[in-house]
Amino acid sequence: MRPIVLNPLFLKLYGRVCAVTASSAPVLEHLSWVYDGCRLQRSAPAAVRLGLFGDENHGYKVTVDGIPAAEEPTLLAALLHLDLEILRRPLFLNPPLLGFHASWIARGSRAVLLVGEGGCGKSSLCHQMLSLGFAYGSEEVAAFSADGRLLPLPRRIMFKPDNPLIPQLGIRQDARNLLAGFDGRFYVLPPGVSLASSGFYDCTFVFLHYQDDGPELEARPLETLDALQRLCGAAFRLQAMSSSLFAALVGSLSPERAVAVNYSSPGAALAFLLELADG
Amino acid sequence: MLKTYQLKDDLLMAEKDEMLYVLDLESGRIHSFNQTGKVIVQLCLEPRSLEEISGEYRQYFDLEADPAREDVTAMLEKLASSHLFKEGCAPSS
Repeated sequence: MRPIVLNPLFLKLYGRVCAVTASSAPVLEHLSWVYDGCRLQRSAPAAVRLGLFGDENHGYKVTVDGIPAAEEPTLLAALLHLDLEILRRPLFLNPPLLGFHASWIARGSRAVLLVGEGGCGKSSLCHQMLSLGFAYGSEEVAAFSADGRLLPLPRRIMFKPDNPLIPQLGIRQDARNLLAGFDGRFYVLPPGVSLASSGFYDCTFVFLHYQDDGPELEARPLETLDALQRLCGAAFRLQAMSSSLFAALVGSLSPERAVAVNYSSPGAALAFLLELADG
Repeated sequence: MLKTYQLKDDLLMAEKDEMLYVLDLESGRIHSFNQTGKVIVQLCLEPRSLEEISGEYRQYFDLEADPAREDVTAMLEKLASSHLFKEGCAPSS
């Protein structure tokens, strides 16, 4: 029996159209909501087609242009894999874009890129800065065109269920969030958030490290080699490293533009970022 | 048979401010080289012997033979210990 395939969801990511199909209505409803800032209201010629098919008995497949890219035993694992493909596949289309795992927000011509491992506070700080009037670039991917324009990706910000901002801000779970039933994560955006436009920004790279028993806040400029090593790690997380990305990172980094921030106080980190963003 | 040195294929390179940065895609590690190191690294893009590399290096920086060979030997050892050569390449002891 042929699997039922629902009408695709059309997303515009970094200016490229991506069609997402699935054999499960809740999957599409979830993605449609998480990516509502990128959703196209009508069908459009897709540059890449992604899919998620399967069931609990036979497992799940994630496809890219009809070719299986991964097999996963659970819907949660398959959906997370599909989400990663949605974020990264459009980067590889011609002409390729340069992308790495980072959050970014902007004010005027300045952009702050937050880089760090999971749990370093990127999402919380990004959300708080948006609430303070910064324009939203992306929570997951900093993508650059070949000529150096930073391209926004207005996907909802993901909070893990133990994020202290959830009770503080009175955030409630949304019925369209399929993943709430699996691992309790939240997807949020502050009300009335403004979106950053694609363009040339004066970028500062902030490498975050949260340490519960560490100093309240310790910030220091990073040497190019150290910053480069960390940014390459962020590119590897998206499996997006290329010779052009490496050359662009080398060209754009300098100790004036790269700061390592170790902190235990989220309030102090936010104050530091605000000062940094305002020059 | 003359031993030659050649960098492995899965390396990405980029230059800035007279420095050369080399990303080893296998290990994920990045190595940086100053101007003298950069010349030796670039000479190892093609298979070359110690004598050939030393000769080119000596000519490039207008050095005497012995210090040129010492510089090159030390750099080749560094590259080998960083696993940047193709399989089978190693500095002579």
